[in-house]
Amino acid sequence: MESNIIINTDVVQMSASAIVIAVSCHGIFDLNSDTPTESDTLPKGVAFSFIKAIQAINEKLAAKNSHDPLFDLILVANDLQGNQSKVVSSTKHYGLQISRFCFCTSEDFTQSLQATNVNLYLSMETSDVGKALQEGVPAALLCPQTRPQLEGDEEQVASPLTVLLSGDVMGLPEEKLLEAGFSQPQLQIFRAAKASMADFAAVIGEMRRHFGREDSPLRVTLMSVLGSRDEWASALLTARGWGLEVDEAYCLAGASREPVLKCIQPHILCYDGLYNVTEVPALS
Amino acid sequence: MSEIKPADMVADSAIDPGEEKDWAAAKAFFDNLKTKTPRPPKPRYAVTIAVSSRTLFNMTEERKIYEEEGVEKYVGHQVEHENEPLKPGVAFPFVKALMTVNARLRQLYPDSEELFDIVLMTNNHAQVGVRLINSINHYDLTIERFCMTGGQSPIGYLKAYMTNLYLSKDSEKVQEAIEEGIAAATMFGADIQNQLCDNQLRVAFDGDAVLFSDESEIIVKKHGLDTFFEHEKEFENKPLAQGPLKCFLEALGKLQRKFYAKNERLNCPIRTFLVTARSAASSGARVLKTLRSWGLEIDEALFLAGAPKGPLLQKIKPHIFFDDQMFHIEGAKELGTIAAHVPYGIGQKYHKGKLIEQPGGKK
Repeated sequence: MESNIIINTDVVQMSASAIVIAVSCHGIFDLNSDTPTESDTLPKGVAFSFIKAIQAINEKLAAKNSHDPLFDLILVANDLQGNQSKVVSSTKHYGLQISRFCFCTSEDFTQSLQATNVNLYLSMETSDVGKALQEGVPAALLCPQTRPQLEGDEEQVASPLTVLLSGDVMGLPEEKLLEAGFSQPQLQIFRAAKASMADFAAVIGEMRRHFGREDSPLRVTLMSVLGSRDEWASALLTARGWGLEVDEAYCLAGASREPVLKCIQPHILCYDGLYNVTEVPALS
Repeated sequence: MSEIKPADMVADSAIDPGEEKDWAAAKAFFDNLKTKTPRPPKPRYAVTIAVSSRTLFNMTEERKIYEEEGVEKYVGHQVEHENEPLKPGVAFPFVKALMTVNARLRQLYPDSEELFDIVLMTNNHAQVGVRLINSINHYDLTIERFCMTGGQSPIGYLKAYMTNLYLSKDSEKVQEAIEEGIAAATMFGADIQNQLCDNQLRVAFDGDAVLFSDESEIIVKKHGLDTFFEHEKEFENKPLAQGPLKCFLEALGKLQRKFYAKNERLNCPIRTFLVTARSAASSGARVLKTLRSWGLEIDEALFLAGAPKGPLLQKIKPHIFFDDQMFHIEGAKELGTIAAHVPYGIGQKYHKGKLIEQPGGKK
């Protein structure tokens, strides 16, 4: 399976203790751009700033000389055929600190991911995320950013990497989900999402502790949509138990998610599959 | 469309296709549960009151730690004491009164979403949330929605949660909210404790620059009282423009009418008061006619003709009194009334009738 992993020779490879994030290139680059490109460079996608946010964290950690694990990025492309070289050249053009590329198909991408010991797989497609979770690959949604991006290539300060955890997944007991009428397949996704969150929380919890409560390049948010206030509090305590202190927390109790998500602007959104999320909410 | 939310808030949120889906999912989830606690109301139809953590609970000691020792020590302290409930704060009586009204509304209209919805809206860090929930549980308060922004401004979230009224101790946030068109006020505790009514919500409003715009107040400040009286008589039949708290009064009126519809006017658990420095004879008519033109009722209109508001408020005993001038806020506080300052209009540039010299900086 290693044959479809390509090393980015422009970038120093990370140690084995690094936190591996495999991110789908759809969203990092705009692969559906109508503008004809004579050059080999793809335009930036709606989630491009995610890479910048990750790099900002790595830079700050390296500056602290901490020897603690950094983020190691793999760019994943399913079914890309002709555009493979464009993805590689665009990465190099923007100077992105992506250590490896994984070119695969929608059938075998989960196997390729498992081979890379990925800590988290990110995609803007809920179907990809759902499939990964079902096959035991930790996964979450990558979200488009609608904050106005700074002009030019000089982005002084990237907005902090914002991770949104699901308070419902973490705080709602299974008995309550069954009582509310959720099916066994739905509960399976729920369990997979929870396990995925627990593992990821442990690694970023460690990382989060390097930064203060304010001005951190990494922010962790928690949002409950269905659960009561006690279940929301229980989710906060669950996060603590996983070694992660949440910065911001929202309990909606049925209020609409989109306006709140628009304020939070997460990069990473932990998928809960509790009810139909057909697409990442249009945050524009 | 319901008049419970201000018109521009409703217009802005019309483009949220997820709202109905999210609500349907939440309702279906809740309806299947065997729990006895009532479901929180649908935000679009509710009167949403956002209270900050420092207005709901008394956090003076904790605030001191934050200011003197920094955020890390502050959060650490809160976590260490998270099983100790906080003491009630300045908005606590108001919140209890809102809950009383809700109980009566649920009795008369068991299926209605037109209720008070109380949201805890704070820029506190999420770790403090556990202590806040423990405290809310201790007093059995009906607060089901929370927004803890971890240091960021809560202003964007006020709109996201469809807030009708925002109460905070932080005057800068309140000012920002008002500039964004959200009714808001900075709360001040009373110096002595008046005994408040526990089966009726009593809300008192100043008129100019609170319910109404500051257009008339500008005339008083710039041209004096005589010009003001002449002007008000001349324009008696021209409604004043609306002020920042008009929509909140409107929302209260909508809930009051639900009681009237069930023959409960004499027993209505909401009572509103206008407490104005205007005099009935010379400038009162315009105010009453303006309210009538808006289709709004106010239960008692009290014209003080310049007399101090403190003693009258002490008799009325409202759960909250809104005024734009700090002079009146202080007078209210001294005699036991919980007062909320509305930082709007020309009154902010004056203190006790004199123009404040502004070097340009806020504290």
